[in-house]
Amino acid sequence: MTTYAQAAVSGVMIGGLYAVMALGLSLTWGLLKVINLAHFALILASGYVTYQLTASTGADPLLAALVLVPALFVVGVAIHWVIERFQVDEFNSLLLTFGLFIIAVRLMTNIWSADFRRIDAAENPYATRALFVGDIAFPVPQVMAFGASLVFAAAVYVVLRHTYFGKALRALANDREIAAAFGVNDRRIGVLTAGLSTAMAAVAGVLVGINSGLFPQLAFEWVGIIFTVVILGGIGNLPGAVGAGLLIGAVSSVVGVAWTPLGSPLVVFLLLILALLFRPNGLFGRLGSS
Amino acid sequence: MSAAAPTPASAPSRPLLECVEVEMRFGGVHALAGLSLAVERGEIVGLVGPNGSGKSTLINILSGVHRPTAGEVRLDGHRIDRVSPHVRSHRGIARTHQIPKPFASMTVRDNVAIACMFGQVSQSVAEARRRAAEYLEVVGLSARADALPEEINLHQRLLLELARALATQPTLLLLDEVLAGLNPAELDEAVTVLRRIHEGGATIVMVEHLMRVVTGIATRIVVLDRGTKLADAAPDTVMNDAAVQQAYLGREHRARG
Amino acid sequence: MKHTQLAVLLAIAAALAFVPNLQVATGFPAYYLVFAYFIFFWIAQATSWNILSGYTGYFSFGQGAFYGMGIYASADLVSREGVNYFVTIPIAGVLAALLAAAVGALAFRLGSLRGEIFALLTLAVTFTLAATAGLSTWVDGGQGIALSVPAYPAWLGEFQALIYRLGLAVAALAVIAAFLIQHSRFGWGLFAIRDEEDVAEELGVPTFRYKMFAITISGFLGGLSGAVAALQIGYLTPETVFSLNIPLLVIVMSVLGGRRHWLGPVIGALLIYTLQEQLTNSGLERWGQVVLGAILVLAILFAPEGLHARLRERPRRALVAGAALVVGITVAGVAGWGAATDWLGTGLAAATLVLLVGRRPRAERRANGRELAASPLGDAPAP
Repeated sequence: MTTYAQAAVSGVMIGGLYAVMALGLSLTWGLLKVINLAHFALILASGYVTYQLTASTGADPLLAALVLVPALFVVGVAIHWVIERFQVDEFNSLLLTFGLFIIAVRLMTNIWSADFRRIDAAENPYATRALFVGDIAFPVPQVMAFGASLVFAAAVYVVLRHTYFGKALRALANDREIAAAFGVNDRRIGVLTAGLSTAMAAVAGVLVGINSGLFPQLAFEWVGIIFTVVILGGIGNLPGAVGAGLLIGAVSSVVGVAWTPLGSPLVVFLLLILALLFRPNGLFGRLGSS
Repeated sequence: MSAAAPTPASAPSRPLLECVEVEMRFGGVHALAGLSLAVERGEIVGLVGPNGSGKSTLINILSGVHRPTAGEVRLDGHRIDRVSPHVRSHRGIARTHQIPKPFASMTVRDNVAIACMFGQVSQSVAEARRRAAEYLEVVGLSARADALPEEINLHQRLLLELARALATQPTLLLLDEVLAGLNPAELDEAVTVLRRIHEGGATIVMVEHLMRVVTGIATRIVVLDRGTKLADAAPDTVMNDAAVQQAYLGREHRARG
Repeated sequence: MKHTQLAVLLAIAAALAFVPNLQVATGFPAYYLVFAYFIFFWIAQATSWNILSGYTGYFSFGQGAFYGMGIYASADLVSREGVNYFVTIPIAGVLAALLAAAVGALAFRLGSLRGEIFALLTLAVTFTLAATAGLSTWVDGGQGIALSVPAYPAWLGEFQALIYRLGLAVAALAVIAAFLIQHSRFGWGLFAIRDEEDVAEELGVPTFRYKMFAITISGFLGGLSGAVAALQIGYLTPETVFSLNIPLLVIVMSVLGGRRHWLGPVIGALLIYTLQEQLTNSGLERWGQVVLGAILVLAILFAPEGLHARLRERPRRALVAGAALVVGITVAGVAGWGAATDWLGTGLAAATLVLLVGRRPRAERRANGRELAASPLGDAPAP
């Protein structure tokens, strides 16, 4: 019984990481109608850079965020600028970011090789520690990821409900033209949104670097899971993405233990198919629908 | 263009189109509530009402875009409210859109050719591309036959919508604000075209925002307000109806003021 | 006009069928037969993708699913059930077609499944198949499947000649299918669906039925091509079969070549595969995917309509491009750059550059204009 409990707990914790990874993608998709496939490459890149910085300087991995968050914010704005400047429509943005995704992963493979890269326990003060509740272990990296997801969820909820930016976001998602008529500057909000999304990818990458090993294929493996999280959570619905992330994390983990580890991805993909077919608006509704 | 067969004087004439207690709900919003309406062959019915009255919803239900939440729609006695739009097209219903939706990658001529290929007559590709020219003649777009939709102005795109709808050889033509935003010269031209179409045997239901535009051409006017029918009679009667004036014209005057 | 074009296509296919005999007679390296096989393979896959995604606009990430279905169906039937290889080819096609029909039946019934949701669905289907292949020991079970060369009539030639001819047959079938569809009422209906599906439906186009045909045909062709690939590759694993390589390449090929015409995927396949071969031969395959990704990005930004549209709009420029092709080949040959594929690569690169430079044709300027696009926020219920 403890194995299942442990699996469920680990699953929920990892689900927090999935959630953080899904946030940026969900936001740009919901608000800007751009599916940024390069998002996955950015998370991976952030992970690799965290690894590299820690390996080269011996600094605490979390500090990498100080560099990565602003850097990736700029990258996000740059991609957004290109899409706007060339008037790339929704479909073609999928293709465009797909191209960027492929380029980025290949470059990372060339730099860091296809070998498994993991931050040494010596430099990663978090990897070996765990909290214990009874027999159940809560590894610190996972707790951090989970904690981060809760913090983000709460922050997003507050921003959406109580700030101008949040209200503007919801208005724009509901009806762009009317919002613009009311003076909501969709251009600036668009830029801000794009930057924030990739900044969140940066955070996700740092957490990934702390949590697990890196290899290039990882970016492709994430695609299925994270899309499932985004869809089930409701496109653009950030708190929803968190809920969906935790759910999928738990399900995936329990399936892995109850059946076989290879079965987890299968179940997740089946969930994705079911979600796309029957609940394209997710379990919690899309952005702006509240 | 199809000519409606004359009904024998002794037989009871069945209306071409019947809506029986049609209801349409979107989430919590009642777009149409218990609407009943009959349109006889050869009529031109003007469907007017302020924004939100349900006119476009009704057109969408008639063309098959939405399924009514309750009620029945009958074409020539047969129920069609559950029939796919493409089958309705084969049974003789055609519509235009308020915001023109041409096939962006095809020329004006080919836009109409699609209708010739798939409408009631179902011509071959070569035949359809030839025949499309006739319909462009009717609406006056022959000069722009080889242009792409992006190269013609809004008014011409509306005419394209019309030509395309005509090319399916409909018995019932649904027009969604096809006269909106036209200057007086364009308006006259459009009305002439519509009369020509009507003389060819089509029954027309036209949604319009401005009542005065429709009174000139319609045989009957139906006024909708907030999903229900407010009036259904000859233009003069409707124009003088106090309730209509208060609900509709009053609001319109306020909006314009 | 249409009939002459068709006759020309058939004649070309028939002539190409005899190239292996030429190879035996003149003794040029058999490597070129294999090179040609791959060109045929990619022409078939890209054309298969384009019949669905290019013609109807229902963008699919799932070409790998049809290919994978075909390749594993053939490999498994031969190695697990002892079925004659040649018989498995059409069976693989049919199975892939059934898969396609199943996806279509689900996806097209539900109106919300447009655009990117459909694309993700096809991706999810591919992932699911990959996971299943890894799990099921009948399919693969992670051990890999080997396929040995079956017995076949001697007149078909050596192994490379056999592969060449099988590849040619499938590619010819695919191209002719795309050609016939494009010129038929069915094809016009698909194009109408691509531009404005709801309007097409209202005008009498049976959109559900047509989309089902398109996806089923696409699946069939993808599966056939996969079955032939099973023989050529000889050893399969889920990782290699379901890698993102196939979906990526067919998309780049069709986007670059042009999605609105049957010639587009052909041009794209020829260009991209030759480029890839050049990179590999020059020892630069590490950069292969970077270049491909870059081509996709540049094509979307600067030539979203593809090269074929440019060829069409500017016949004179096409002639110049053709001249550049010849010049490129000659220069490379004279400079002694080695293999014929080098010359072909240089010539094609020169021709492509000529085509890409300059003002965009009107078809593209329209494609990027948002004016006529529907509201990005979807269709709200009309008041």
